[in-house]
Amino acid sequence: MSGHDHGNEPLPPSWFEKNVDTIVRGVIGICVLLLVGDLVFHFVGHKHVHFAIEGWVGFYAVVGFISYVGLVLTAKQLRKLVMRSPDFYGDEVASADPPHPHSVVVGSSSDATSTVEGKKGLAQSRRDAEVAEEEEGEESELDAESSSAAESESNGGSSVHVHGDEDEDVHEVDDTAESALDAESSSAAESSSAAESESNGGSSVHVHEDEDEDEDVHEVDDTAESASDAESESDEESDDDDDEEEAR
Amino acid sequence: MNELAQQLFPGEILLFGAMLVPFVKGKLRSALVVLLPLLSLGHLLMLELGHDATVSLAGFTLHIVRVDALSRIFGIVFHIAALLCCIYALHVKKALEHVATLVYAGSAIAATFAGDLISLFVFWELTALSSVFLIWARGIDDPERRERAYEVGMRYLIVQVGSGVLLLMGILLHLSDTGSYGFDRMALDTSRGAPFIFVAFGIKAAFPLLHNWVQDAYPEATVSGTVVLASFTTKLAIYALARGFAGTELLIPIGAVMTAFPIFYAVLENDLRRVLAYSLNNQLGYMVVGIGVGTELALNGAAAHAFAHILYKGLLLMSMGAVLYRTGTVEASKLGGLHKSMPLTTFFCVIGALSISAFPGLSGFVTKSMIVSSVGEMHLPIIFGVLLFASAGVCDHSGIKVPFFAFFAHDQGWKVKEAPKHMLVAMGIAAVLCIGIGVFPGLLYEYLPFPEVAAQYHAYETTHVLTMLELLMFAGLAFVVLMKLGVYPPELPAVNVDSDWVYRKAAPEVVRDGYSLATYARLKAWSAVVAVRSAFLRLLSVHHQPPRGTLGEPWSPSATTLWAALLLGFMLLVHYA
Repeated sequence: MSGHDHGNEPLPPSWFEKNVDTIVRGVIGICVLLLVGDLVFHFVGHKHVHFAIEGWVGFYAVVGFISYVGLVLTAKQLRKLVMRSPDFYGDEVASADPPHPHSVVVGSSSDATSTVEGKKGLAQSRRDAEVAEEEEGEESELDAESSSAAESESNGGSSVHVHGDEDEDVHEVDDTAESALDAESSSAAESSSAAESESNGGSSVHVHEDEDEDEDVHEVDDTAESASDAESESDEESDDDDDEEEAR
Repeated sequence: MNELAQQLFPGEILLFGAMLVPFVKGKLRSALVVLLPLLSLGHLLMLELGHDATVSLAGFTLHIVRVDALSRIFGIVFHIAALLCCIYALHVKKALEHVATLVYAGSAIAATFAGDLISLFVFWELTALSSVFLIWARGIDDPERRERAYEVGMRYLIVQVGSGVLLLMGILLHLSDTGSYGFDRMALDTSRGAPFIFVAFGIKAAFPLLHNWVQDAYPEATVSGTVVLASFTTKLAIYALARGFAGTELLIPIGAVMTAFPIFYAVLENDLRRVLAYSLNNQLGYMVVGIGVGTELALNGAAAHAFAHILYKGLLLMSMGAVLYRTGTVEASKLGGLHKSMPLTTFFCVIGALSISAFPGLSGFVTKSMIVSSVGEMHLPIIFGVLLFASAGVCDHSGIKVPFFAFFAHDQGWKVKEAPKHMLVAMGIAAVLCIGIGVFPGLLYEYLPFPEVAAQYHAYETTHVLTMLELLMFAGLAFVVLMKLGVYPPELPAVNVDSDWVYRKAAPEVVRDGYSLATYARLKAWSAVVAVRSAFLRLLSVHHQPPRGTLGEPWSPSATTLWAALLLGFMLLVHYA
């Protein structure tokens, strides 16, 4: 049912993507206009307020801005306290997530066929993932390989995975760096309690057991900054979890 | 015709009509599920204000229908929601979901018009029993999720039925104390039963710490199931609170916490339908505050906000449902750039987002402002401040985060089809209603519990429009600034521990490992100590390397001098103070 296109060409950039700066300038412009309007109204009109402070010029502007920043930054800190691995309750549907479209194909060396997996593809990848997990049981070393095998099969056997063996591909293609970071940050969070990596085996793209690549990726692109933020946060998480394990 | 209408109770058409659904197929079934809510709405509109009906059952005289302004407005919006949900779910092939939707909507509507506590209890329980199938249906559609769907459904059912049991206890105690089982305004000290009834309503209205079933269960339902679930149960509880506990001051702080607490989680959450479940919780907070304030303006506001909320929340969830339907995920970390392939869905989602943010010209603006104004009139500065803070918060998680990360943000390379036609139709109707209420608030105000008070209220007053625009635009500006600075928290797939930790993690561990509660608390405390210790050690050792380490950075002489001076100054203070 889920309609998806075959082919690699990303959709051309839209008006929104081309005019980000215009939009930002627009927002700033409206904000300035509102403040001016507020100032004019302060002297010309009569404000109906419940509390005296509401009548101050720009009170709501300050409240809006400060509340928003305060909320987001507080919530960000809250992560340290409340964030756990997606399988914290032991009910993560390992293969429920479709593979990250970017990490699946972009810039593959050979004939990749689809950018997006539809539901059919998904079901297929799930079955493959099961197989992969069974194999895992026997030979745990194959962990990463088998999962990637399952993935590539479901994608027409041609995709590039963010994966230890394929480091070079990652370096070649600019875009992949970003997706690598995405995948990395997610996998960092997911594999936070190290023991769980087993259950994650089959599903999305994971970058385990490869410290080298970690560094390489940082070299590739400077968006690493934000990702490394995430990374360090989830690192801390992982330690916390480990400690919990210890304590128990 | 009219006589027949008088004999039916509202919702009856849906309850019994649902029984026909499994027996028809294809287009006929589609026609039936759309026709039933329309018929039922027509029936409701034929009943006049003040209409009452009773039935005798097992020695009780049940006041099964009471049509007044309060029950009518909830009844009308429940019907509109049922209609939208039925249209939105037309792609569903199996009868189960359609039947569950119709029975659930029918019982919520019947509960709204129940004039006594016993009929309320019956329909209250029926909403719980019918709605759980919308969660389990996900496990039927998708065998991979079977176990998860089953467990979520069971947790949901336990909470819902728990609320029902408390309600029953409350009713029985109330009956023995007062001799009446009429469902009228009461206070917490009216009877020994009243507090139980209050908590039973509170569970379904997602009071703080009793709230987590919403975020646990709603995002786990099917594409259309989540829209259905989000429309009825919690708003039925809001209705029940407005009917039973209007003016109970305890509700004001409870509601204020509800507006502020969930938005922190909404910022962090990655599953966009779960973000909306947290934001639903926040919106309920406004209504609860309004009910607590209890003035005519406030009650009008609560009812109006519930009306508008059902529509824009439904719209937002429908747009996310369409995304889930097309891409197979609603995780912000995997989405982005969908405005190119799903432009109409994007447009509808933005309408919903602006409505929930209370942008002037849209429904949230003309309804939320009544509640905020009533708080202002009561001169409750702290509550007023919390509501303003929460307004900026709504602007973040529902107004910006949901549309931005799903449809804009970073193009993730999705190439999918636009949402199916029937979904677009349902979203379109909801969007038109959101705009319609925003532009012509008078149409809604006529149906409020106190229409004469509502007629006096003018939402579009210069001060109000200006201040609200300022609040929202500067919140938007803050988002731009945070994004540009790169400090906006990245979307990460994770579980954020909330109050359900108590029954999903702690309680099972206590039972499984046979700890006493004291031992368990000690263990948890110890692990916290270990965590702090190891964090400190890490600060000293792991991050000690000069380039990254917190303490590894070279200290400038001026900073060292400053710290030394501060330390000496502190010692002086301590010494002479």
